[in-house]
Amino acid sequence: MTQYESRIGTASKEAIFTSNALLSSGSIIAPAVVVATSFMQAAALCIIFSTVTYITVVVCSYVPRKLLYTIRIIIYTLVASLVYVPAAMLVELFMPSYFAALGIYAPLLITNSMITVRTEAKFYRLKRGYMLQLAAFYVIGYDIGLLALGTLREMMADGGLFGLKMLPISVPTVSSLFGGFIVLAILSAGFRWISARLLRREEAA
Amino acid sequence: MVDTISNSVFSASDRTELNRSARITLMLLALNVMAVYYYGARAAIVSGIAVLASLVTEYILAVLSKKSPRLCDIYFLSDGLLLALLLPASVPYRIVVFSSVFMSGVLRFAFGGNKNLIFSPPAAAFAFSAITWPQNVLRYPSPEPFGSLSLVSDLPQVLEHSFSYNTDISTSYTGLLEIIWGRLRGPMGTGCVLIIIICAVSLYFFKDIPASVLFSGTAVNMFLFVLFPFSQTGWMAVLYSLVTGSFMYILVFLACDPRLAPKLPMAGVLYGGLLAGLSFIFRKLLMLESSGVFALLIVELFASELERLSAVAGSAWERLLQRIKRGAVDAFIYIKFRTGRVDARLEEPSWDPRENASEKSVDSANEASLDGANEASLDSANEASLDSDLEKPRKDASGKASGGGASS
Repeated sequence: MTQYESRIGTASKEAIFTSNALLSSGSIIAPAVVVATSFMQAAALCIIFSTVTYITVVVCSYVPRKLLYTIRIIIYTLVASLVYVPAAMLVELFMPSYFAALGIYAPLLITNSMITVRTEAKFYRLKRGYMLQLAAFYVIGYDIGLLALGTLREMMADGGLFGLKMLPISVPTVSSLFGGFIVLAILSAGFRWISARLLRREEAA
Repeated sequence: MVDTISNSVFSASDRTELNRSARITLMLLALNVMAVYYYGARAAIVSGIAVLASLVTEYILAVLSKKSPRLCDIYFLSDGLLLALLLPASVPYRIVVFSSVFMSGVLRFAFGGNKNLIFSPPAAAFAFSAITWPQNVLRYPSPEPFGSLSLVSDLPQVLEHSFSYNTDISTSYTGLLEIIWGRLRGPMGTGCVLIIIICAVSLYFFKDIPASVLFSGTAVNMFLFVLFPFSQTGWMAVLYSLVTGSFMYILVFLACDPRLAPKLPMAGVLYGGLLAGLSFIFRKLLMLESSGVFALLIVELFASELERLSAVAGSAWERLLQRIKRGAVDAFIYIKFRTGRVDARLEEPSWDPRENASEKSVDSANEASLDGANEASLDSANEASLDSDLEKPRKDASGKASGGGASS
């Protein structure tokens, strides 16, 4: 394996497993818990989040470091809001009911911690090429967590997926707020356990 | 032989815990017997499913987390029975399984086991089930002596609100004998208040439950029912306060759980009082069935704060008592010796200070030694007193010798 491939591998493992934004770090959980009550709603949120975050990170990587930190953050948010408009229009065109269900949590993604915190703390301290790949993996990691949460909640709340009955029992409370927190906590615990086991197996190998 | 094995296998604290859990389980089995009497084999099946699901969940999680399950940890048994007795006999079996798995897996294991509980696992599992499936968990069949409900999971018969719910909204009344024997529509094990009271008394004498929580909860509940009655007044209000709302069951078996109840007496009094007050408010304002469970979940959050408040108040009270005691002693000493010195000054001295200078010096020497003078000063004082004592006979002897000499 070349050095480049190993770096990509390390970046992907870090972003998807050990530092997964939703399931490991516990950041950006409000939209996930409130909105992601089904697979399709989670998918709508994923599209908006991925578009807004990644494009903002890429564009804002060209903002000069000489500017004051506060000004930089304001610029990042401004750029994110400009990117949000066409992304929202796109999702509203193809998934109108799911977009309507997102409510206030879709525009709130403009100020998510990946744009306002992680860029300054991590991304913009790296070389651009590697940073772009790492940012992409972070976004993919969050999307995976979000889709898993939405799928699990739909299966538990309705007893199945996409209208198909799969389980003998349905737990409607899971689609509520406190049920969402409980499911997210269980999912995070299971995810961390699996990640730890995989890492241990790799180290042993 | 059993004693030998248990003595060798378990520590003293484990044995105490095991004995306590065993006694509570025995009490719950007694309540189960009444449930079987009214609802048939279905009640036993519901309890059995709850216990089995709890046991399997505990075992699987212990294996996954590589912790060896301890023989003395039989909380799965008592918690399973506690949960089952809060549910109606008509509850579908899948709901019992889910609730038990949720109780053991999420509410006990995820929080770190019995030593780190925040919420009572059966109470929280019941609350979750009641919110999720209110039509199945908060509707009850009618109890009949030697009754026999169908063993099918989903009962076809129409279920109704509990007796407590009906008494809260109307002046419905039932016979005293039915109340005594617990033949009331409601959760499986919470209607037989007579048996619950007997269990409470025996658990109290075994010191398995804190008396402060038990008595304060009961007293405040009865007081509130008398002051702000629902449908019955006077002594009937007192009776209904004990019988309705599953309050006594929740108080004795859930609120007095030694894993969660406060240890200090004052904290226990506040805890029981708060539970009764909150439960009453929920019932009065929100018309909640088994409102005691929801009240308990809230009050449990404050158990550690109540203990801290009780410790602070206790130490402040002790300091105040000590200060009062010290003040009283000081006042006593002041009055006594001030009074003594005044009397001494007023009276004429009965002895000649010159003749008794040696006695005075002895006294002063003794006082010096009492005041913590060193041995040197004591010796010197004693020598001085001895010298003065010796001088007196020498003086007398010399006086006599000179007198004798003169006479001769």
